Amino acid sequence: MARAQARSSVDPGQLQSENDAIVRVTTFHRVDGFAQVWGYDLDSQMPRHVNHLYRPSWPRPTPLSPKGTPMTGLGVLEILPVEILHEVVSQFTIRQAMRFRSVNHRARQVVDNMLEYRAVTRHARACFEAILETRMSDTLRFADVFRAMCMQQCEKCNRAGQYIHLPTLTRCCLPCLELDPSLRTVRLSHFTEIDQRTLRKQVRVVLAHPRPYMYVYINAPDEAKLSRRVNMTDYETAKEVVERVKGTAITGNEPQSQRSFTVSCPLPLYNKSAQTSYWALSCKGCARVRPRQDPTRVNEEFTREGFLEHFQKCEEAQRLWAASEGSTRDIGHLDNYLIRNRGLKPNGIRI
Amino acid sequence: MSDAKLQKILLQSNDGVTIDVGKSPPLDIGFWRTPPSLYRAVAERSVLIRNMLEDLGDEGIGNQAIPIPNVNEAVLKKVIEWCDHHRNDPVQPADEEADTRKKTTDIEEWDQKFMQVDQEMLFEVILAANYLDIKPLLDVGCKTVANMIKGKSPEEIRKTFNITNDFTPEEEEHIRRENEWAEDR
Repeated sequence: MARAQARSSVDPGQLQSENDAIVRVTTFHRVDGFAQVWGYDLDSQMPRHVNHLYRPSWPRPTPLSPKGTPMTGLGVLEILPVEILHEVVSQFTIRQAMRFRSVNHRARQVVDNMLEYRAVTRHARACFEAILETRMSDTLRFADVFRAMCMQQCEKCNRAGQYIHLPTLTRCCLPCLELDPSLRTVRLSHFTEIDQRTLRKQVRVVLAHPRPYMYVYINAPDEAKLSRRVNMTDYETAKEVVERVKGTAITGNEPQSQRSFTVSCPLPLYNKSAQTSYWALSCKGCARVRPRQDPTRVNEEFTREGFLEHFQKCEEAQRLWAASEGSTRDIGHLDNYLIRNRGLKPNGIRI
Repeated sequence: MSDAKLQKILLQSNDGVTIDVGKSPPLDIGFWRTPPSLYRAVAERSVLIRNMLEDLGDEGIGNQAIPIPNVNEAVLKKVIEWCDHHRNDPVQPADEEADTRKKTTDIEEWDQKFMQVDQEMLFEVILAANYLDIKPLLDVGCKTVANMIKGKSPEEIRKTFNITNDFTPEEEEHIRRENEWAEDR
């Protein structure tokens, strides 16, 4: 019985490595979308009058001296068993956790051992920095970010999504970020009916500042005038709050949704069981033929599982895989010239 | 109303005091007194006690005090007070999908007042909630501890919890640079 099974099915380890090779050979990672969201450094193209807003990225924390169990405990907190202590630490907001880390060695160890902390700071650096920079660290916990990280698909359209919309913590893809009405983003001052301080207490506020894309892209011509930081928030949530407080329905004057780029940043797809992350995959085969036949298809991005499914259907990708003879031959000359010349990759990217 | 519902539920703390769930002081004030039919709902906020009551069966409940060896009288009364106030809360599913649009560090007003006790008592309540397996109370306790360090600098946190600083000057310098980046944005 066991032998029959073994003969009929391929060894799972071998299948795994073959799938890995297929993914490596026939996919590429589109990064042009990153230029539109947070976490993208364009120092050279930045106008001088917003230069002062830019800061270097987070210094990677180097491990401090004691490797084993620290001698000094946590004082009164030592009464609590470890699992409760972890429960307490996971309730900390990001800012609290970062401060708690600098209390002593043991505190540092407790925070560093937290699964969510490790995952976010190791794999989602751009997102972590954006959260600190937008002053969201006072209200967000590592667990909130981690929840979005563990999702692989865009919450709006179920395709691969490698961005996060910060005011709602929604994982989404670039088309949804641009077009989905539920991700509309407005300035906090959009709602004149209500005191801003009242509104602030009930919604997530993102302190965005004008990013280089505003000068690069003409998507947001009105934003290009900005040279100072602006409080942004999610339109739907804020609208609900205003309607509840004021008791009247708000109609009309709906904002355009393209401002959601100003409050979004890249978030890699995270595999929870393997504790690894990767960026959304695009099909090289589709990039070869689709631009001429169907320009919309070239924008399609996949999760790993999604791509392997797509690979079964995509003849061009299979042709590429055959040409590589099991990933033994270089097939760079067959790539779309944009991929080959790395034309899709803007210079100076920081992820 | 059946007899079973009128039965007393007795708990025995580790200092040997027997507490009637329906008669602990905070519940005894005038007409706010909890109706006897709800004693069981109060006690069953604790998963541990619920399982014990099931094991005892209806006959056993009134006659026998349930020993709670890890919790003393004052703390047990405090916990019962909490359970009484929250007896009608819906039981939360184990893996609750928190609504991430809301701020999650908020605590209910009643709970906030309830948790205004000295540090020692707070930790005792958390430990008791852990032992008695009352997940919502444990959450409130953890959030309260988290709130205690809100807005505090590392030095103030050390003072609050009596923690010794064991960083060397070089490490201090390193940490200062790291924090400089994370703060003051």
